Amino acid sequence: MSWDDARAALLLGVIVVNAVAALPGFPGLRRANFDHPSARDELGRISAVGADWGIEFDPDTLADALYTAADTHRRARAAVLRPLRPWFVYTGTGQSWGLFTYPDRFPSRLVVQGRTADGPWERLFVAHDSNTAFDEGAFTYRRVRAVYDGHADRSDRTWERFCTWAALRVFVARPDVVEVRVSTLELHTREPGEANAAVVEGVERGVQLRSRR
Amino acid sequence: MSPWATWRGLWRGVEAPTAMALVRILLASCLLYDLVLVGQHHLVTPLWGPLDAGGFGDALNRSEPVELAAWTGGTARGIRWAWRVLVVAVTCVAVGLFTRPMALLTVVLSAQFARILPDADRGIDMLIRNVFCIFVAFPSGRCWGLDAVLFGRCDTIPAWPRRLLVLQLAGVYFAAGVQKTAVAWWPWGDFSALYIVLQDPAVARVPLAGLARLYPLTQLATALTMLFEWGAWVVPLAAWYRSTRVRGGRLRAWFNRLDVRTVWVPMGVALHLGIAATLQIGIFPWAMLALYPAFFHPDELRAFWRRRGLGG
Repeated sequence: MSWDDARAALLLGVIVVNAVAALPGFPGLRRANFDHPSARDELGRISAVGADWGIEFDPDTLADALYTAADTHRRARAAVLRPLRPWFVYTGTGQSWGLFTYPDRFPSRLVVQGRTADGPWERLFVAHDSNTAFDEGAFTYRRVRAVYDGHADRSDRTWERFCTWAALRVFVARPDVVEVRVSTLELHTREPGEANAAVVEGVERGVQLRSRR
Repeated sequence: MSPWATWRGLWRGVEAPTAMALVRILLASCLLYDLVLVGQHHLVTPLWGPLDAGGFGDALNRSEPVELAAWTGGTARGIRWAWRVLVVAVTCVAVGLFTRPMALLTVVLSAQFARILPDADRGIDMLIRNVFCIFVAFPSGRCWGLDAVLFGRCDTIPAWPRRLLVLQLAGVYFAAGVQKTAVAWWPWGDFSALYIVLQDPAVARVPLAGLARLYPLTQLATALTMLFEWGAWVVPLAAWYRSTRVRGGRLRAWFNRLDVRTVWVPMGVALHLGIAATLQIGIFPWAMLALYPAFFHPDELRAFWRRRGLGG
């Protein structure tokens, strides 16, 4: 075998493996994901498109079918890639690409508030509000945004740790603040043609309070 | 010619090292800028430090602990040192000093940071590691790098790294297009995807109160994004046709008459500049554009620079 053959064979292997890795992996797939407001909205829209084309199915049936198909696909993909898992883990490489795969019609807005000993709550950082831009560089930095975006409604430990960190940033920069409140405001984005078209501010989620010790 | 001989021939050959050297410098500079931002905002410990020092992740108490957390003694000081080593490694790649081992070190360290806090590791970080793996395999620093001073300049490098990178980029865009299954990306969803994305306060650069008036424009941009991503597969095909132009075939002749890159690459540049102008997603658009020199053969880049009186 010549060097040209060896190189061609190696690159063929690399490309085949990475092509399998490029298939959607559905990390963190759970049936409960389909009950999220964004997913319910999406399922409803798909059902409506199906109805327009004369194919009737209700969103729950569709959710079950999609979950089963995705789970089967995920298991098969994982089985194929299992022998190469150490390579992907220790090089952090892969082929899972997706930019705004599902545009979020229910995005959330981070709100950080502070209160002095005898004062009212004061908004310190609110996304998209230039009047409340406390530590904006840190809060909007891409890796930090990824930590809080979408976490508040999952009430997980990462969100709690993020809130503690946000409170500490406030306490260090604002010695007069004794209590910090971190939360997100759920929004609902509607298209111009829809009823009540606009971005509507909804419920507050993931409220966390931290006091200066 | 047999299929295997064709495949083998695809990866054979050498070319000038300039295109890949340019990619190396631009991409490493983007990553370096991103890492400097982490330091500037004092985010090393929150993002990657241990839990008891205020870290968001919990790398030591997992069923599969992260080695970097153990190597650094589970301390914030140790993690800060690891981050400094990563900054030095990326700087070395940017200036082309010990490029291959430094690219490998960057891949390994960056992957460890990704495992400590997977949420903070984005697709662009994974793509950068993929590309740095390619830089491990050939001497990119021996052109426009300090390795050229230390070890001598390379006048040619293998052509396969750039070809593999073109395939990687086409794969990124095509896979991203295929995965856009939400109805909002399609005509039956009114092409509303970008209208929705541009109103997400977590990523939109500024509030766009009057966006409803520009709805048709966002619909057009959504449709063009899909066309661009689904059309990505034609780029490696066109490159293949260009490199085998002596062979016959009507489709090959048509592709070679109309260089699809003159349409597709400007669309990509416009897409990423549009993202940079309207969305706040860090280095993503710039790091993607840093890879674009790979779409051109070094001889084409040289001709381009000469036409503009930039030497080469």
